[in-house]
Amino acid sequence: MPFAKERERRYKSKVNLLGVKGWYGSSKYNMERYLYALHRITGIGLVAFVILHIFMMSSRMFGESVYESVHGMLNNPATDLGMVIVIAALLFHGFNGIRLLLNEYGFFFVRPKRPVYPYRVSVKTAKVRALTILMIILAVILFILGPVYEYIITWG
Amino acid sequence: MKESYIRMIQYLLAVVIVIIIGFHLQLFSSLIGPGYIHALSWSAVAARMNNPFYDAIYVILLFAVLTHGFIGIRNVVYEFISSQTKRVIASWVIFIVYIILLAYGLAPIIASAP
Repeated sequence: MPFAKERERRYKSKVNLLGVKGWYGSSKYNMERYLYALHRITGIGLVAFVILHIFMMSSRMFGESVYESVHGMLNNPATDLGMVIVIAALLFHGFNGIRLLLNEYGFFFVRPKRPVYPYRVSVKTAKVRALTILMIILAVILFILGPVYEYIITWG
Repeated sequence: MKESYIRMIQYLLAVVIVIIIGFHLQLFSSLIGPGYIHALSWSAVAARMNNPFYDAIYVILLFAVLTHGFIGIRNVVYEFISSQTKRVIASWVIFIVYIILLAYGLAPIIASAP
């Protein structure tokens, strides 16, 4: 077998040996690595919500009575608390996604340096960390002014 | 399709979603829109459904969210599968589920379009 193919076969046979544990299972991970894991988890949760949302909202096809009965069933503090959690996941996923897009295209990164002990990540700057913190703060502000405020005036 | 194109589509759709979902969610805020309770009432939902502007917004949002989401699910699934054959099968299963959901989501929008 040619060397390149053999190397690819060996690489593919070792894809994600740790499974889901590998997303968050090391004490050596930095904040961005944990944000990556949370981005995945919220993404999967949001896809599940979108599927549920499509089925719920399609009830309007069957007229007012069916729509009102479906929404009457879901109109209580517990399900609305679920909605608050969904919006929290959406805000996190959205703002973290904006941060990832900016990082992907190299905004705020600098030219990499030769790896020298103690092997710190050379491309990251204080601006990269500031962007991460800014995105978290914006998400928290919108979370409080959006779903938390609506929940309080509805059920508080 | 090349993986780099799929990744590019996912990024472009992410930008579309960020813009449109902001508009969608302001309806549920009492501070800048009609508020959660009013926006979900039958009269408000029916009024939005009879408005071609909202129909267009919902079609774009549905397509963007489902495509972005299922590309993401495919990426996660690929992390756990190393066999090329199984990856192709998984891709097709995900694609079929995606098409069914897209059709089911489009049905009420088309049915109530003016």
